[in-house]
Amino acid sequence: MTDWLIAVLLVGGGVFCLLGAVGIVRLPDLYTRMQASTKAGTLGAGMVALAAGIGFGDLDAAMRCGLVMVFLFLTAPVGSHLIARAAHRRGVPLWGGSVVDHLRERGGN
Amino acid sequence: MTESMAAMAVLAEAAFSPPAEPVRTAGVICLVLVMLAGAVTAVRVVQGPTLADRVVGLDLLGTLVAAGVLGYGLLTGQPLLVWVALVLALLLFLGTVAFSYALLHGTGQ
Repeated sequence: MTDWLIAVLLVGGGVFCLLGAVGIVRLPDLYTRMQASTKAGTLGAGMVALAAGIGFGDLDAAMRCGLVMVFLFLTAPVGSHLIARAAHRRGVPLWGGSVVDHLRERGGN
Repeated sequence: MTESMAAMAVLAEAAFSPPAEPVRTAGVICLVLVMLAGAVTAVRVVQGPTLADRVVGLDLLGTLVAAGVLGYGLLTGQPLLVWVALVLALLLFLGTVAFSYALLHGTGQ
């Protein structure tokens, strides 16, 4: 039972990693690419970390795997926010089909 | 000499506990998917039109490496590799912050 849970988590994590990678290549501009990489990629790595945490069957390793997961989930949004802000200030263009740019409208930049 | 080597071999045999069947297959599938994702992400890192695109690609690549290390550690029964993933996740965040700072205050595209 536990083995099957670990197996599903591993394969699901791999699939999400691949989806993030496809998204980062196929999406049209920096900001949408960042969406794919941050969400799908982090979820995939987090699922693999959860699978490892269950699979080692060892409280020590499970704690460390949980720590990896927490670090990934905490740092991914902060890092992507920083890059998006820097890129926007730097003038990296939005996709032509974008509807709204709140950051420019507010003049906050 | 040979006696200690035999003892070490016995120790290594005892330390290595391969996971049960569904986990082993799922782990191999997961590693293949993660490697494929890394290859796809490398396309964006190479051709990314701006520096920010490359930074996002490298960020995802680092997350994928952490996931791969965790999956490999689970597959080969080495809980020590979780430390590697932990340090990798932390360095990844530092690298992302440094890149965004350089993007904001640095010169050149």
